[in-house]
Amino acid sequence: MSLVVKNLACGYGDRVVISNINLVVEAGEIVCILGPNGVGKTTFFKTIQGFLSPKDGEVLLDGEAIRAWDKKRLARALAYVPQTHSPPFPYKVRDVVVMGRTAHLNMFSVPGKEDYRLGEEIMEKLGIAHLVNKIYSQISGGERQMVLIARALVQQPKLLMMDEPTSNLDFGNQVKVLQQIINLSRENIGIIMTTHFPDHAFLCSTKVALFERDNRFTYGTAEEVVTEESLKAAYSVNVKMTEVENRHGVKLKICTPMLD
Amino acid sequence: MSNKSNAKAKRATLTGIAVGIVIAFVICLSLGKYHIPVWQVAKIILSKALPLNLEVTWTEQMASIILDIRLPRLIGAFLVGGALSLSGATYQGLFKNPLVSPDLLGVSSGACVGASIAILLNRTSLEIQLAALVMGLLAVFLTTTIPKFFKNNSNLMLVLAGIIVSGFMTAIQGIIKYVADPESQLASIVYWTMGSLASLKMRDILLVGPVMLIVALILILIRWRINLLSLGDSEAKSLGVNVPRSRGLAIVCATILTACSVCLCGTIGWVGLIMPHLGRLLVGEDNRYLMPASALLGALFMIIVDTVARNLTGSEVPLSIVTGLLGAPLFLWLLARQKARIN
Repeated sequence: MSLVVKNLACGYGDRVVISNINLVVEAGEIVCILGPNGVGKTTFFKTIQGFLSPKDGEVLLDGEAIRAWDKKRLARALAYVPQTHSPPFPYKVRDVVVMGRTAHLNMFSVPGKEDYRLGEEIMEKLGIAHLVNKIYSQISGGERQMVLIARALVQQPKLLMMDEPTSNLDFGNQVKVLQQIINLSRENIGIIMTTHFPDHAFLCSTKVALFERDNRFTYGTAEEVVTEESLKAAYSVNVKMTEVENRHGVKLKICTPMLD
Repeated sequence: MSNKSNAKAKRATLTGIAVGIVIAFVICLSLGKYHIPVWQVAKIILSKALPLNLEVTWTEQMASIILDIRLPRLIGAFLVGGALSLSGATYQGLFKNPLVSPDLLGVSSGACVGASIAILLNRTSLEIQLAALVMGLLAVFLTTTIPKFFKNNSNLMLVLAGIIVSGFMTAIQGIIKYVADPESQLASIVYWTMGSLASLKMRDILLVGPVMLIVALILILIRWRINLLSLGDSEAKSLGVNVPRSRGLAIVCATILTACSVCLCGTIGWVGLIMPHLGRLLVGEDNRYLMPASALLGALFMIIVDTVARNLTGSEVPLSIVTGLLGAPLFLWLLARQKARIN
């Protein structure tokens, strides 16, 4: 699997929000998208999902332009994990998870035993099997995020798109979700995620795309892209980079904002 | 596992309501000014439905009352109650709002205008029904066309368009009432807008019933999609749902159901709003169970309502009065049960 974004320009109506995006996500890679609010990360995601048509350039999945794909085919290749939300009706967690099977069912069918079994298997793998019979609107934010990841995995996609998967989560849940993201990439799923934490780029990304104001766009490894200078330019804050060693003796960069 | 027993319990509830409908059907057939014992009713129906050579213990008059007068009414009540409740549940799921009723997009007000015009022109009852059906569908067509002008296909736009069309239709209805002959026409317009099954003939049911059953079947088949659509457009899309197609099909089916019932018996309030709530209490939010449950509960409710309507006083009471008298307290009770959840 490979997702290739070529000279992509995204926007609404006549307004182009961001242009000249070039990036590649291969199977098993994690691409982190960093950038300040309002710079076009969500617009970019919506364009890849086909909700907005590209203003220029194209998105290729395994060499094929996905522009013309119908929603069903797209959903089998590409699953989206929204930020935590609450549904209007209190569905059970197991029923929320099997909703991910939609792309594999026809208009008139309902999910069957096999679909539920797959859902349970994936929940087991994510360590949330105990939530199966809970009411989705009554579980915690961290649990909901995991349920939404399970729902996306039930789609059996090649690529997972995650919109700020760690936002609104406490520290412990953030780390749990990151660990799961890394586990998934080891199973050869390609992952593209937006995040507000530069540290997360060092923790788990293969590549980083930094979206900046005025249509500037940098793409490369975390080492190359996330620097004191680039963060200052993107977010207008002073940052100091330091290094810590992880359990395997690998040096890991972390950034600390410098206040006045 | 607990899910299986849960699904079993829900299926048992659905079966229970269905059995309730059969029992209510036979009892209600026996009730009326001319009381016919239940066992007699059962025998008359069985001898008609099956090629049995039962000993004739009933009079011609009994058979005629059951088969020509009460049976069409009760089948009508069954169809109308089921249709209104099923489309109510569909709309509530589609618009993510449990306070929505099936005339949200203007079907009922449109149908009222159609029927009133036909009454004003002194047309036959069949023509009145047809006019109601056509105008009801036309009103919804208008409602669904407005968002296209603004190139905005959000739910909110559709609801606002429904308010505009309903408002307009109600105004036209007002004009018609104003110019109608107060001695004869006005009375029948008012009577029609309050709903009645009194003049229903087997012919009407054979004409409209099959359409209603087919459309209801389609809605039941796509009930899982309604769950998905209730998540909101973009989430449903990202799960692989063709949102305009699924939502369009659901709206068309729900609208046809409502329009058909209005054409059979005029407009009836409350049923389409309350029955889905009662259904939620019994089987939960999942439309896979909620939609069939709402349809069955609505059918049962209307069978009872119609029987009350023809037995309460010496003359017929309009259905909307009975649904209001029974429905409002029932809704209050449901709200009391849900109090903890609404807050």
